[in-house]
Amino acid sequence: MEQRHIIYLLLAIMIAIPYIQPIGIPVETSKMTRDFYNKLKSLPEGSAVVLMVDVGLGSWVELGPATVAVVQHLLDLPIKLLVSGGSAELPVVWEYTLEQGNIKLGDNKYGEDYVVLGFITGGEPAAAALADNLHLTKEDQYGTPLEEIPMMKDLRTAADVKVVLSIMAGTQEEWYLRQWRAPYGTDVGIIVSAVTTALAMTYYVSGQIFGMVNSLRGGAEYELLISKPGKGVVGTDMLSLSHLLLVGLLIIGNIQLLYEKFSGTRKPEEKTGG
Amino acid sequence: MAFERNIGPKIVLSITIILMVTNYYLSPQLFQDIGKYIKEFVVVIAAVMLGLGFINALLRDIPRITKKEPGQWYFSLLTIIFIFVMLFLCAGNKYMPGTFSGMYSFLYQEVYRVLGNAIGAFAAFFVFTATFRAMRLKTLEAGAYTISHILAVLGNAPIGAVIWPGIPIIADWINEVVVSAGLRGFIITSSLGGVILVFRYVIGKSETVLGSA
Amino acid sequence: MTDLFLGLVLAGCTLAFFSLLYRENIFYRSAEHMYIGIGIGYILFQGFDRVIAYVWTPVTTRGEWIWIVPFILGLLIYTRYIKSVNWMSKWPMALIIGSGTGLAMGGLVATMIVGLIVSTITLDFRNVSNIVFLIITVTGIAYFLLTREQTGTLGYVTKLGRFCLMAAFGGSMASNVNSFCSRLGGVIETLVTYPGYYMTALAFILVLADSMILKKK
Repeated sequence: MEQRHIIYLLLAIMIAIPYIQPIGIPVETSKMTRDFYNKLKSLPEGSAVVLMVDVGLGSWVELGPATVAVVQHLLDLPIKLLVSGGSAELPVVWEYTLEQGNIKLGDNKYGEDYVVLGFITGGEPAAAALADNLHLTKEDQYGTPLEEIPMMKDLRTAADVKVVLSIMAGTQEEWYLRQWRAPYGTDVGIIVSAVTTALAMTYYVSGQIFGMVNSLRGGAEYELLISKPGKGVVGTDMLSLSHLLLVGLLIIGNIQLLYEKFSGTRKPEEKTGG
Repeated sequence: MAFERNIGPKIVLSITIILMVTNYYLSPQLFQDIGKYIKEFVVVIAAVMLGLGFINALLRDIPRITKKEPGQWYFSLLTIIFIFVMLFLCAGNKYMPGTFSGMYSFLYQEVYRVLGNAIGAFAAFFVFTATFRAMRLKTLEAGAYTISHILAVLGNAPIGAVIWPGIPIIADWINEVVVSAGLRGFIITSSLGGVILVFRYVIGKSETVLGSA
Repeated sequence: MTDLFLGLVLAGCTLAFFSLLYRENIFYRSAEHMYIGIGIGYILFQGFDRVIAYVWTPVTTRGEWIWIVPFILGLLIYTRYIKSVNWMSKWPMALIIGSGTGLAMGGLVATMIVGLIVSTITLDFRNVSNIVFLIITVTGIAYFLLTREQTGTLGYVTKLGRFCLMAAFGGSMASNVNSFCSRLGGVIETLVTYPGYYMTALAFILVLADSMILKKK
């Protein structure tokens, strides 16, 4: 067995432990998640919110808990929700969110309180086209002409939308900052994969993004804020143990370096990577 | 011939960039209408382009199957089979959901999702082995990298607060000040570079972006 | 029974992919090609569906013939596969790249240059953190200034910039680790809970058997 196989096994074990025996380490909510939650909560009744799904099911394990929590919160608020996005998997992600989150639509009526516009192809030009014309897709996901949908009568451009949210794993927040916020003044919030949190943080700190729900931990925080703990909270124990392992490996690696340096038994540089 | 192959597309590129910038900044209705049509045209073109992956797959896999390339042809056959199975199930789910929605959900919502998640999870293993082998405190910069990395890693997980209540505070400071400021400089300079690059496209020096004739 | 079958299949698919961590094998290759095939088939259908919504329906029900134009432009992209006429694909590509670039340029100056610079210089510098913020931003920008040789005072500034950027990348890498571990966690959950652990046990037995056979060889 090679050294890397031992590390793989250790990692798998540390991640598996909390799923076999949950630990229950308390989770503190971060400011960016609270800002996201508070902004949505403070929206006036009847405000239009656009939820852009820009990820596929491949990101579900990371962004699923956050997506479920935010969608549940949006459907509990007295707002009008429009669902669209640049991901071709939008229809599947939406249905999967409702199914996996066991989300009760409650008093929400399709066409009056929420509508699924369908996905739009074309990246940033498509985001810009949708900002200019919310009736871009001409019909909703299920084939109904948008002109026949009651809530779409007063919604024409991004100027009629208070907030645009993006579930993303890339740099799509820049599209919405450039094409929704700068020209129309629509506020931007994001549910983001941790891979791009660092870049998005720049815009959050500068005030251009009002809030971020960051990856699995952010999902756990949001679940706690809406008082519906779920898979996100369970997953944070796993984060704790895996991160501890990483720090442990870092420390062991540097102790090894110091030992080799002082004992004069330095080996030639090994290749990095898996 | 040179006009259709090279000069014409470059002119289209330049004019489109100028039109979209004027659409963004100028309010006269003419610019708004032109910009609107260009954006909506791009949406339609992008929809038509979604078949490119299919053509690429056929061009790559069918020769492998017909020539019975050793060690590969059966995998290529598997790809082609699943393309058509999924196509059939998608159509079935849309037009005859009662019959096909179960199979469609199984293959796409369950199998494809799980495979996609597994691909995304791979990187974790390699990151951990790379961290063990490569992250060494050899220089001052490496030290800065490693120390901020350790503190941010511990701060990102709830365990940091359990080890010492100060860790999440330091980690938040690292994220909001160090990371944000460092990447801000990076974003500003790359954006300035982007402006220059676009200027080059507008004046026709776009050899690489449209490819050679 | 259905849940058992589904769980076993899903765990099997996950383990097929993870078997690459041991060594390249037929299970991994099959899972990989299955994934590619399903993805392509799905996207192809979605493209077909979108073209019906954006072109066929407006043309046939509302007489909006203008949408034939982008449809034809989109078809021209496919000429890239025919060597004699592949130049035709450059025209729609020029339109796509031009529109994306022009739109990005429109908002880029306002949000990514002016917006970020203004928010940096209007910080409250009575707070030490904001002074540190400014120093890191300025030295980071200086590091990427390559029009002048980085010697003398500029050399010291860029050295500090490099130090600060490395600290920033260390912090941002922590976010990457967060993402990868989050994804891995959800996947491992499938393998250690019912009924996935049956497949996990089977996979371990197969790996052990294979390594013993390889050792004998």
